[in-house]
Order: sequence, then C-alpha cells, then structure tokens
Amino acid sequence: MSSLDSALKSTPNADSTQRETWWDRVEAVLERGSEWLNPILVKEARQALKSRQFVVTFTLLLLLGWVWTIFGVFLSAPGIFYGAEGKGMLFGYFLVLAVPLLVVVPFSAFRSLAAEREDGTYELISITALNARQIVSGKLGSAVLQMMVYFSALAPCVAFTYLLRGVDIFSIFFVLYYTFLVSLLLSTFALLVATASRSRQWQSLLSVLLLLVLLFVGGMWITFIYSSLYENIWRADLWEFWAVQGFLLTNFVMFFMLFLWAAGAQISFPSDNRSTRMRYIMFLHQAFFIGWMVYFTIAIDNEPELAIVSIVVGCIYWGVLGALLIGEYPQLSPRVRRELPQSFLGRMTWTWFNPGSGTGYIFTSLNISFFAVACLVMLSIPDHLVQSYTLTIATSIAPTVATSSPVIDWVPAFTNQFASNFRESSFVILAAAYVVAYLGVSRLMVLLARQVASVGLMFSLLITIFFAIAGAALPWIFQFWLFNYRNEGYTILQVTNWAWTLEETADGNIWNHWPSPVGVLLGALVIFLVNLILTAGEVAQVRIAAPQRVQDEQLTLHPVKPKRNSPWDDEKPASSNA
Amino acid sequence: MQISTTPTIELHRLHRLFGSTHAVNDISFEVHRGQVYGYIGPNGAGKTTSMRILSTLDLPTYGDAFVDGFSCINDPDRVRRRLGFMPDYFGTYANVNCWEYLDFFARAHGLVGRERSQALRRVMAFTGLNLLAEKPIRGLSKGMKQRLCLGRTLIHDPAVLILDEPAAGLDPRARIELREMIGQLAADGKTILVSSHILTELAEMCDRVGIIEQGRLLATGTVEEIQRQQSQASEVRVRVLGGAQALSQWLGAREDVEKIVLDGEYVNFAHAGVREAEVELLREMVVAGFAILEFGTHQTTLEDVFLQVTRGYVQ
Repeated sequence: MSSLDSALKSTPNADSTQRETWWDRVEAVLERGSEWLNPILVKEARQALKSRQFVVTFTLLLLLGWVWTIFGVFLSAPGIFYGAEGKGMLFGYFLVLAVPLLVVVPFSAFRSLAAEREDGTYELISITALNARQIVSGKLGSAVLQMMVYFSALAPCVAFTYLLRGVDIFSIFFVLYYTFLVSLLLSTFALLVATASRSRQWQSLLSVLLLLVLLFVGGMWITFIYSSLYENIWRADLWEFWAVQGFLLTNFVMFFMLFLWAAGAQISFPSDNRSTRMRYIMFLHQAFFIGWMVYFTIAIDNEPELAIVSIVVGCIYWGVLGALLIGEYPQLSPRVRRELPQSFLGRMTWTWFNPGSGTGYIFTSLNISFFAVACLVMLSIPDHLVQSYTLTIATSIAPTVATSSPVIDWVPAFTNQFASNFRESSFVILAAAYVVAYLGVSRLMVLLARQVASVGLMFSLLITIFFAIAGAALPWIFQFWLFNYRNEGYTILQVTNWAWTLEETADGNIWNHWPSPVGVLLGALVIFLVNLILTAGEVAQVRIAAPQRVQDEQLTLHPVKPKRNSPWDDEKPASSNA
Repeated sequence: MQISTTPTIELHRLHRLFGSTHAVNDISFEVHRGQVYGYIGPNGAGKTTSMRILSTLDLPTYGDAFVDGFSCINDPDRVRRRLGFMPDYFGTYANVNCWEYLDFFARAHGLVGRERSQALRRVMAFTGLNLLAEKPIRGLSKGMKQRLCLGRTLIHDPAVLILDEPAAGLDPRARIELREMIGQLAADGKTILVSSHILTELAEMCDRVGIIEQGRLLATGTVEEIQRQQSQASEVRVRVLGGAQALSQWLGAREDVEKIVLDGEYVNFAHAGVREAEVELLREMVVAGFAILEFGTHQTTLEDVFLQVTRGYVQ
C-alpha cells in the first residue's frame, strides 16, 4: 500500500456517519453532470461567479435594467398604452446589455488567459491532460456562461418589450442572436490577442489596444442595431434574407474556428503541428465563400461587381494570412513527421498543408489562384442562366440545363459573357498576381533574414506590409519627382504600384499601358517559380516511424485483436481446463 | 534497493541557449526508479531550466530528455501522464478554496467520478489538508500553500516527481514534514528529482546528487563518490599523548601523508588511500609506540563537496 493510500486509511471519514440529504443528492447529480464539462469551464465558473468583477457587472446590469424599465415607462406614458413603444424600450435594454456583452465579457476572457500566462498557472495547466485548444475552449465556455447569465437577467425585460407594440419577435430574436454572435467572436478574438505575447509590457499595450477595438466595435454595433430596428431590416419573410443569414453564419463559424485554432496553436507545445489544422480551416473557409458567391451570382444577382468585391476580400484575406504563413519555420519535429502523408498522391495533395514557409507560400498562391479562377467563372456565367432572383438555384438552372446542349449553347455563351466582362476579369487576374508577387518577395526576404537572425510570423507580416506600402508609394513619389510634381497619369513606372494599377484596371485603361499588366503577370510567375524551387527542401520531408517505446505503449493501450480466420476460432484464449 | 536497468529520468546531452547565454550546457545524467536525485547549484546555474525541459515546459536547443523512455520533445503528452512538476512558485488562483483547486487539477488530469474523489481524499489526507478543504487559498500560510502545491503535483499519482526548491521559505517544522513526505514518496517507488539550496536536507533525503554550475554538470553520484572524484586524500585527525611533535616527524617521512599540521595534542594531516589503508596506518602508529588517544577521519558533508566542486561563478 502506498503512503498516499495509508494516509487515507488513517483519516476518519467524517461523512460516513451523516445522513444524505436531498440537497446532497442534487449535488451528486450536478457533480456527475459536470464530468462532461471542460475542467477549465468548471474552474472558471467557480472563480468568475465569485469574482468582484462579475458581482459588480451583474448588479449594475440588473439595476440599470430596472431603472430603464421605470424610466422608459414614465417617458413613454401615456402613449405606452396605445402607441408602438417596443422599439425604444428594446433599444434601451440592448444598450444595457451591450456594455457587458461587447466589452466586459471579451475583456475578461482576455484578462483571464493573460493572467494565467503572467502568473505561471498556464504552465501548470499545460502539463496536465488538457491540450491548448481545450484550455482556450474552456475560457471561451466561461465567457459564454457569463453571457448567458447576463441574457437571463434581462430576459423578463426583453419579453416585456414584445408585449408593447412596435417590435416583432424576429427583430427581438435577431438583435439578441447577432449580439451574442458578435460577443462570442470578440471573446474569441480577445483570447487570440491574449496568446500573442507573454511579456507584461506587451500585454499592457495589447490590453489597451484590445479595449479600443472593443469600444469601437461596440459603438459600431450599437449604431447598427439602432438603425436595424428603425429601418426594419430583419425581414424574415424575404427569401434573400435567409440566404444572407446562411452566408453570415458560415463566415462567422469559419472566423470563429480560425481564431480559436490560432489561439490554441499560439500556446501549444512548440513541437506540435500548429499549422495544418488552420490551413484546413482557411481552405474550407475559401471553399464556402466561393460557394456562396457563385450561389449569389446565379440565384440573386449576376452583377460583375460581386466578383470584384469577392477578389478584393480574397486578396485581403490571403494577403494577411499568407503574410503569416510565410513566416513559419520549415523544420518539422519528429512528432509532426510521424503523421506526414506517405503515398505519392497524398504527398502531392497534403504537403502544402504541412507547416513551413515555402509550403505556406505555395498554399496561399494556389488558393488565391483558385479564388481568381472562381471569380472568372462568376464573370463568365451567362445572364440567361440567372432568371429571377426570387428563384432558388435549382429552379434557376435546371430548366436551362435540361433544354441546352453544353457544347453548342454553353461554350459560346460563357465566352461571350467573359469577353463582355474583360475589364473585371483583368482586375481579378492582376489582383491575384499582385498577392502572389508581393508574398513571394516577402518570403525571399524572410529567407534572407533567417541567414543572420531568427525571425518569425511578426517579421513576415511586417515585411509584407512594408513591401505593399513601399511598392505602391515609392514609384508614385518617384514619378511625381521625375515630372516636377505634375500629374502625368499612369506610366509603366507604376508597375509595382498595385493600388494605381488596379484603379486603372477598374477604369478599363490598363491595356493602354500593356507592358505594365504583362510585367505584373510575368513578375508574379517568375517570383512564384523561384519560390517553388526554394521550397524543394520542405517538400522532401518524409514520414518517420514512431519510436519503439511509443509503439509498445500504443499496443498496450489499444491492443490489436487477433484476426479470426474461421467461425470456430475462439476470441478468447483457450483456458487450461478447456 | 533494487535498481532497474532502464532509467526513469534520462537527460542526454542537453543544451539550452538563451541568446548568447548557455543556460544548460551538455548535461547528461540518469535517475532510476525509486531514487531521489538532488540537483544542486547556485542561482542561475541551469537547474530550473533543465527541470522545465524535463517537465515539457521548454524545449532544449540540442539534446533530449526522457521520462520512462519517452522523449520530452516528441511525446510530451505521454511524459505528462507520468510526471508531476512542482515549480518554485505556487501558481494558485483567486476566489478558489483548497478543495476546488485540487478538484480542478484532478479534472484536468482526466480523473472522473469515483476515481477523482478518491484521488482528492487521498492527496488531502497525505498533505494534511483535510481540515482546510473549504479554506480559500488566499488565507493559507506559506507552508500550507506548499503542501497544497505538493498535493496538486501528486493528484494524478505520477511515477516521477520534479520538485524545484520545494523547501524554499519554509519554517524548520514545515521543512522536516516536507522531507518526511518526500521520503515516503520515494519509498513508494516514485522517482524524484529535487533541487534545493538547503544542502543538509538534500543530503539526508537524496540517494544521489548532481552539482551544476554555469549550466554544466560538474559532478554526479553519491556524496562519497563525488568526494572521491574530487580528492583522493581524506582528512585525518589524531590525538596523541605527549608525542605530537614526534608523530608529525614520523608522518612526514611517509609518502602517503601530506599537509601535516600540529595543533597541541592533535596532529591533522591528509592521507591518500582507502579506508583499509587508514586502518593500516593506525596499526603502524601503535606499533611505532605512539600513545594514540583518538584517531578520526573528517566526515565529508554535502556542503564540503559543493564548496569543493563549485567555483561560485554566476552567468
């Protein structure tokens, strides 16, 4: 018997003599229920609900809720008995909720994780069975719990606004639903910010910046909710409304997952694979985004502007994420190499999801190219495929498809549409080429910098921003200086100036300066090829076997059942008596 | 004690660089099951860094560390299941009582239901925290907090314990109690790596020690082994009745004796040789006619060894 067990034996069990009360039984049930919850959530709930911050916020919320109820009723009287006063009352309650939900809860989530890292308790948790993502999810769960408590506290007041006239149930639902989603996304973002640095100085700076972001977003959201209530945008009777809800929800889920995984990756063990899962999410996000854009083009509106907006969003998205991906280190730990794809096809496809600067660049370039191709397809969809915006995609396309021959009708229709949208198509191609080129140059700089110093994601992000600004501003300044500060219009000198070049493209004048777009395309191709050659080393990584000790334990924990060759083979080993 | 052939803890050519500072410089040693290994060195020697690498909180620049045969770099989750780390800070939470604190760590280690409640009761009984279960951590004394942290380290019943300065700042009674607890855990077969500045205590509880300075492991083994590594000569003190001067002359003629110092009736000298040689020397003195009242060799303490081995460098 170990000394721990003998200490337990020598301790009298005080509870054994007491009778179990009904409350003990309730507590036991709750205790069993809590086994299913994230341990961080259980701890945070115990901690947070006893904290001064929560008590003060909750008390203030209740007080302000009551004050607004009394004040609002007096303010609306006597019209409250026959007028439509619900909107005003609802907006008042929303304001009371907005501060805790949009500022207090996300900021507490930030402080909660930052404090764990400052106080060293994060280290103690990190060496338990919990992984980094579970830790972040637990913190987020605690934030959600607090949101729920605040929502519940004001639920009777919100229900009261429905009893007044002037606000429908959908408006109330969507105001609360979207406020919850925004609060959740801000909390996830705040957790990501908390993982950015361990140093107290940086944490202080980040906390100020985060607070400013929260106040800004909170202010914007309050303004939006106010106008949404009075402009009646929550139109559940419209079909497009639900399509937009689907689009927003998809993007929310993708950004939420991206932030959550990024926060988890930031604080995970250094030899872990921090990148592959995030690349899956990015890839999936792009696929969903393109899917929605094509759907909107076909089912709602076949305007070329949609493709332009899409490529701009895509360029920003991949520009930022690509700038971070090219800052990754290419060395894979043996732990990561144990899980690399083995087959030729697997390596061809999944290698670009492996961590590394080169794979990150190629991954980004392939994605933005794919995005551009999707936008070109959107620009090529013939108008007659899009019949009425009230029809769904299936009813829109099905009759056309059924009565047409793909080769005879479709190919000319698509090419004609593409030709008529040549200006927009040029914009799409050039925008994607600029992203490939600038990220490629930044990656080459990262490789150069690594010859003398150890540089990471922050360096690659900053160098990309620097190149993007310098590439646009320097030729512009140079040209003005060259022409004695007179505006001589677009020239070939502006080939690196993505802003001006794309503006000229949008205006339809870029092919008058054809060497410039051709230069951009050729430049992007050359930079891509140089980077591809330099990525060879990263692609050459092969899978390695787990050490014998790991394999042995794996076999002990998950023994392989002996294969039965016939129905007479006994599963259990025969005993000596048999 | 039976020592298994596979080490439970193994550091293999471990290096850790922080910029130009070589915090851990080529350290290798092994600790077997049931052993208590004392890790000694001045502040900034690299003890905590190497303990953090073993605890999967940091990565080495080169080399590797293994716990029960699993790499701390490549299989941290397997290492963590086997390991309990008690750092040199408390790491406690506000608004939490002792029971809630231990319960949280039990849950975090994946203990559920009856298994968790048993673990909690066992650890609270072992650390003597039963009566303080409902007490907020904020109100605990330093000694009690240290017990709580030991409880947290033991909650998942790890086979390996890494204790970084567990006795720092404790009063004498708390230190004795902690020493006893560590002794009990070692007797249970747990492998313990403990660092401390209080060398007398380490000497009492450790089977082996490693002395580290400026990131280098200067010596490792039992105290006697290290002493022998450092110097072949033992200090001998002889009290002789009325012939100290003659004895010192007699000793001066011998090749195995040096550093002879007369001190009244006493003669102190360094004797190169093993214990049997000392017995022979005493016999020869008596045969030579010296009236020997006392003959003793100086007992080397861990402090002596530490002072001999280290140079007091700080990086």
